Amino acid sequence: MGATGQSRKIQRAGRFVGLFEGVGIALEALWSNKLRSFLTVLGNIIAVSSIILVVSIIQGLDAEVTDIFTSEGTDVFTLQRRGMIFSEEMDRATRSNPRLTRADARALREEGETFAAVVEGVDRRANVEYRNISLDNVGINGRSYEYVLTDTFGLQAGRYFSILETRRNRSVALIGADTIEQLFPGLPVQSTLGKRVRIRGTHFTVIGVLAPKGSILGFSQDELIVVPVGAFQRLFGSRQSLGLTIKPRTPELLDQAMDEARLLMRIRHRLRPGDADNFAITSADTFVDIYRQATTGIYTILISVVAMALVVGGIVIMNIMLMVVTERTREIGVRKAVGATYRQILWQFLVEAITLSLVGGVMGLLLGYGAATLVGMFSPLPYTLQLWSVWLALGVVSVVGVVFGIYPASRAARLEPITALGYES
Amino acid sequence: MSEVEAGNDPVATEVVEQPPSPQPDVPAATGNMIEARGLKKIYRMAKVEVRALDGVDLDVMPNEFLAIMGPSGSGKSTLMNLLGCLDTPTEGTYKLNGTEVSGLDDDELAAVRNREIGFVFQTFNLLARATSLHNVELPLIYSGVGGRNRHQRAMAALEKVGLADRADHRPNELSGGERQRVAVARALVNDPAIVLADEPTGTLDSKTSHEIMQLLVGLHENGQTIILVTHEDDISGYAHRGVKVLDGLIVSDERQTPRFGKD
Repeated sequence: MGATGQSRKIQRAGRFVGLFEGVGIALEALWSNKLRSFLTVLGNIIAVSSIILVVSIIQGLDAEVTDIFTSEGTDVFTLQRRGMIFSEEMDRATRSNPRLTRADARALREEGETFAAVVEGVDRRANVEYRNISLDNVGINGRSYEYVLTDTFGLQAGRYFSILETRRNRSVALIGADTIEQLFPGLPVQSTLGKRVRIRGTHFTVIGVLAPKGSILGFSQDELIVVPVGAFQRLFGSRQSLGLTIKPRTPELLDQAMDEARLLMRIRHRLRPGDADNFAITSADTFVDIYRQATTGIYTILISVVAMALVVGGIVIMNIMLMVVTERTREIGVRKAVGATYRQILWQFLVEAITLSLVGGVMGLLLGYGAATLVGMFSPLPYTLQLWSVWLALGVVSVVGVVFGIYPASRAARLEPITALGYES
Repeated sequence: MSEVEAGNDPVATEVVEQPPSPQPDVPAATGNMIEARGLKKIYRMAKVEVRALDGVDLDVMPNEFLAIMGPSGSGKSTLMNLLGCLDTPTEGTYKLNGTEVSGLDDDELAAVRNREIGFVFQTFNLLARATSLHNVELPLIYSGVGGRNRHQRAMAALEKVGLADRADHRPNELSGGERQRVAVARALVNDPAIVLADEPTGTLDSKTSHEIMQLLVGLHENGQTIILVTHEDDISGYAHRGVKVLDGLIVSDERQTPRFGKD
């Protein structure tokens, strides 16, 4: 009988035999020294809980934020005096941009070939009253009659204002669902039509009630009053720049319409080739892009935090495993004496390291999920637990277990049986 | 192991009735369990050369009960390590149960230990967290025996040492003698060619020592080849053949009448 051939067969048969034993030993060792175990896996707990928490919240935010940016509609774009300001430099560069006026809006309507509608808009907050009820800080939105084409609320009662009412700056108002409820508590919406509310002391007749939209991140979207833009300017003056919401004739024409608006505005503002735009054109896509950039940044930070926590966690696990190997030298000697091979010992300690790492991972998972749930309960931030983040986290901690467990395990597996048994002569 | 059981004491002792150092060129009788020729173990430390074992020949027939004796530092432990395939000789050849093992690598030696050698240690060396049954199963685990078969063989080994009722006890719930019995069961579970007992009674009181030795005597009577390593004359007195080691050499190798028989 060839001992060599037979021994090879034996090695192969028993390679994974220690697997469950390794898991069991690791769990038992963890349980018997809870504080040390907790500290050992702390790095993994931090890493995994950060992954779960951040991914849950960002994924939750994604949906809502996309809602916000598309609440103006995805098939429109806006022309403003100044766009989003990200730096002091941008602030300085755009400070002297000319105001957008009703004349600009008229010009775009006349000259634009791709536009279906140019809605003039101007917003601010003001006090609103009805009899003895007074509401502070209600959003007052001045709009031109084309508002009917771009409105994303819809009406639950009444009608929009007409061309005539816009032209004659009539004091008529569309009222948001929350505001109507606050001004006329308990009154059916139909009965509120024709009532007269006071904005800054001027009476406005209610001609329509907007359908409710709900809230985003805890802020109601239904606390507003929409009035004709001329009436707005009569109340607040015309020094405030308009924002123009432009709807292309078809959604496919969006990019072309944005180009045309830019061209027309550059001509009106007499800009020369090479001059920067002194106005801003943005679409929902623009905002979504900016948001995506921001979340990419957050993910990048997350990855570095997680990587650091994992390296620290891994080193601690390696340290503990080296200690475990030293503590159990005699046990390794016995196992080798009764026939354990290099691979079998290697596997045993590798499995132990992976188990240790995974236990930290699972604890981090629970912690991260718990934290995300708490955030969801006590803040308006939404969250969704992403299954992929769970697999990612567990996969990563397993890899950490292997990477940082392989060295202690190979130290154990390389031990000479007589050394390990204390038989060195 | 019918081959082993076929042998009986008179035949075995007759063969050993040879001068202490048999001539190397005389072919050994076929069927030897152990055939060692010119075994040397030399440690080189700095400029000093320590010859722990300086050329040892040894033949052991199946079903011998052999005691290796010698004071500490004599080379007795080194010889045991080599015979137990825990270490490899610097020079010489070692044939165990027909297999030349001196040239094997670590994993091959592990497989040979697993199949051919059952160790009984002075300090028992049981896994503290494992039950008796699991401790006995250990060699079977490493030879890839699984499931019911493993369980049955381990239980059978525990029955042989009279501890079937302690199968689910951990070492700290057992007495010293019981622990050593578990260790003996572990040594037997893979039907090894030899049981190698290193000071098996070193930490036991005399009564328990006698019980453990009785257990080994019983195994021997059932055909097991046993090599006992000890420095205690009382303990070596159970063996049928005494080999004395001194300064790395075998200085005497004699058949002896066991001073303590089976009770």
